[in-house]
Amino acid sequence: MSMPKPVPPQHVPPKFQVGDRVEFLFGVRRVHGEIVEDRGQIGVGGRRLYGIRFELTANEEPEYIEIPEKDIELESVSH
Amino acid sequence: MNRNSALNELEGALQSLGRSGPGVRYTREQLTQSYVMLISGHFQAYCRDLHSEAIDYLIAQVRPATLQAIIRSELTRHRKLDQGNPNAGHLGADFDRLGMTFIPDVKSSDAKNILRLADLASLLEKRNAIAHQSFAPHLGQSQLKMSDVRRWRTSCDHLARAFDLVVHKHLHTITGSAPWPLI
Repeated sequence: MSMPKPVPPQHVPPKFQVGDRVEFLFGVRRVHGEIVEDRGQIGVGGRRLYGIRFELTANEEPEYIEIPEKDIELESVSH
Repeated sequence: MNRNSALNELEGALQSLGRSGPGVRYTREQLTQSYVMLISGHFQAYCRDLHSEAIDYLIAQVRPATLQAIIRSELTRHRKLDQGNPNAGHLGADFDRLGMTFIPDVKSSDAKNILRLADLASLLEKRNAIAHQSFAPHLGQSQLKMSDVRRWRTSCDHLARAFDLVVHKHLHTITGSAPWPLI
């Protein structure tokens, strides 16, 4: 399959791994989730995106979101 | 692995098979079926990546930034390309949520895309038959020809470029700036 877009100019190693517990801002809430997929450097300007499963409401089906690396932090230990 | 490399490797394996000999026909058939699965899989992955990239570009424009994750979540909720084939229905359902008319845009960007979309439909029909080992009489297993498979691959290559072009154009139109360099 042809890839019409140029490859990102520089490979940047991933900061997170699949299975990492992470947190990010969802509106004004800080939500927690698990990285389920490293989507690669397919974001704006070649930034890396991650697929994250997270629970927004207790006992509801988990949600899926793709977030740029810069907006994610490892889950704090206290949680 | 680069998508083209993976497909080229399978193409190479098929070409390296002899014309006859013990098991050649069976091996060729299995490799050809694998080729169909691989083309379909890579095309789906490409379309999904394009969708993710478009969302990332669109969301980066949203202010205040506290809204971004909320909208991101909505745009990937129940995305068809996460699990389903990249057929016209699924492609339209996912990309139309970005505010465009995806399939009509693809068709109007180049008249040849109508035939290429028909090729994609044929590829996916065969892909499903192989995946489920369910060959309807009109899809007979023996009718899987390398010439068809190669044509499907070429059509997917052209469609990939057309998809990139129409999504690029749409994002440029609604945001006022080019999302990525076109080649």
